[in-house]
Amino acid sequence: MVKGNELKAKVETASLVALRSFLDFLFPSENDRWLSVLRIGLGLQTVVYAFFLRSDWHYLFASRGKGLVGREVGEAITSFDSPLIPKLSWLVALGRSVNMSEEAVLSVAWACLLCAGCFLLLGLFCRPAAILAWFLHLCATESGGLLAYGADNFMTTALFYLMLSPLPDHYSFDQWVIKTKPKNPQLLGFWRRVLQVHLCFVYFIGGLAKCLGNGWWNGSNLWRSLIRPPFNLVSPDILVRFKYALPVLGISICLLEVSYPVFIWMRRTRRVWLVCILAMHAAIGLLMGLYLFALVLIVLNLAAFGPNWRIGSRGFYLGANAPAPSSR
Amino acid sequence: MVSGRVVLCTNASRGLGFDLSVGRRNLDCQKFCLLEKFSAIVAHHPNSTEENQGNEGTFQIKAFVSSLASICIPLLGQAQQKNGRPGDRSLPFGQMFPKRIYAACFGIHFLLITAVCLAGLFSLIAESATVLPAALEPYARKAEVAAAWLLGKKAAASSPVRRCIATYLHAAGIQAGYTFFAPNVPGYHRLTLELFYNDGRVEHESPHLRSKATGLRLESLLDRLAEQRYEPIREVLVKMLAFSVWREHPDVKKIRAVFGSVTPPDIAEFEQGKAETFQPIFSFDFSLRDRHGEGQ
Repeated sequence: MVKGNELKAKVETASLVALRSFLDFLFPSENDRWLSVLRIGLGLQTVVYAFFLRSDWHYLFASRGKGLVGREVGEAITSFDSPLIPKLSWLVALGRSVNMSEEAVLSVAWACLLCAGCFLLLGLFCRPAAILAWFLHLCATESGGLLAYGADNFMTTALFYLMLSPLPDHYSFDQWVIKTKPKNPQLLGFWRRVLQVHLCFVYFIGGLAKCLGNGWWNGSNLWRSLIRPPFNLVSPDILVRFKYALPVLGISICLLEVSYPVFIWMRRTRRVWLVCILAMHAAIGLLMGLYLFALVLIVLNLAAFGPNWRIGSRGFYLGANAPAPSSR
Repeated sequence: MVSGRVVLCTNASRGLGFDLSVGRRNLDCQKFCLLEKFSAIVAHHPNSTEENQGNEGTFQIKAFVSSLASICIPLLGQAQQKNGRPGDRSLPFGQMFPKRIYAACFGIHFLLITAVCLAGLFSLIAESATVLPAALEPYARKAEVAAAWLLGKKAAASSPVRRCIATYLHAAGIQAGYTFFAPNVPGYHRLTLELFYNDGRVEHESPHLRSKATGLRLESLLDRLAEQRYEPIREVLVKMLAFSVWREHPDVKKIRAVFGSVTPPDIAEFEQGKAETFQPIFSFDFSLRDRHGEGQ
């Protein structure tokens, strides 16, 4: 009976220690440099997104009969999931109530998205700008529906986290003009953790799914990725010259992604994994023309696991005393 | 009966957690033992103090991680609800934040992400798209159904739970998994529009966007057209795409839309000079008789 109680007590103590460690992991003390990277990066991303869609904005999101497929189809599919998901039709209906035409509303929405991106870039009205950018981008993505792709989801996620993070950060214009109280370092740490854990999910699942396909082990998937339109920026004739490198690169991508959640946390391997992942995304951007996709993932990786940059008199350098993403 | 008070406070230096005050009389022996062990764990921390004021005394434990107290909620029952006070006394009011709520949100958020990711992964296994043996397919299908249940997809379309989960997933951009270009890169799809003019001319055209940077969105649309789940709206979508081209060629009499998959050659075939192959999947004929631009 006594032994049973002791065992029970030990289990309880161990579970308490484990929970304590988990909460320690969840709420580390962090500075806000990662948040600056995220804000500036997403500001840039939003501006680039707006400029990329500038000429096709009305064509993509106009109602039926005016655009490519009309936003009604995408919105109907979205509404089937939930009618509460924001869409551009909400804004059009709002504009109609003040006698604004659909075209005018779409133009205003595009201009607001661009402004929100610029404000994020400068750090001006950080929180409202982040909320506006997230909302307008979400409206566009959901109304686009079938025209959306991976970069849109990542951008929504990144703006969602930015919007909830403790803004403004140290390097924002807001902080410069209105000296606000320093943010709780553990709250900053929590949001960075969320970003870090999310990226681990992204790469682990992506890597695992790739490992389950034979095409990544013999390089054929890499070949097919690079020659299919509209990703075929590199001539197949050039790719053929590197045909023996394709299986190696394919396997490397699989292993890099699937092992990301392990090696990115280790101090010794973190920098190597981060550089490799950044190089992979840069290559995706340059060789396949997936600029938005590459940019958003580079920004997310730099914010989540990047070194703690500090602005000094000699430019950027590594923060010597800055806490690491994980010291465990 | 022993009567006293246990207060779990925060660690000032780390700014963690919240306070928890409970009357000892409200705790049974086992629960109190647990608190004592917890006290022992944190007693080594430099900021820990313990006070005992006799029968009416108060034990004050400065916790290394006092948010651990949130985990004790099931053990402490209603006691915390009566006297619990979120926040950190060592922090200014503006910097307080309820850690247990953050931790719970973290758990729910990543539970949903896990469910979405696993649903996508199990779906691939169930569809025999992976190198895994076919014997796993029925299990993968069951696991996919379980993940879908967790996401509320098995509930009625009007279910508030389902709608709330779906809204959250879309708002956070986590409604889709991360199996890009996996497990294998499929062939791509092509929609060719044959434009028949009144004078007998025939031209070939494809739907296009003005900017090349957004061109890949159109490819995304075409890839989805081939999916079985979009079969009910396939004709409507192709009609709209045809109509978008017709607006640029208003004198066209009829449009035939041919949609198919393109299989590119592999490296060896490419070196032998083999070109890609086109396999038609479906086609539609649209007669443009309405002056106001409605395709028939």
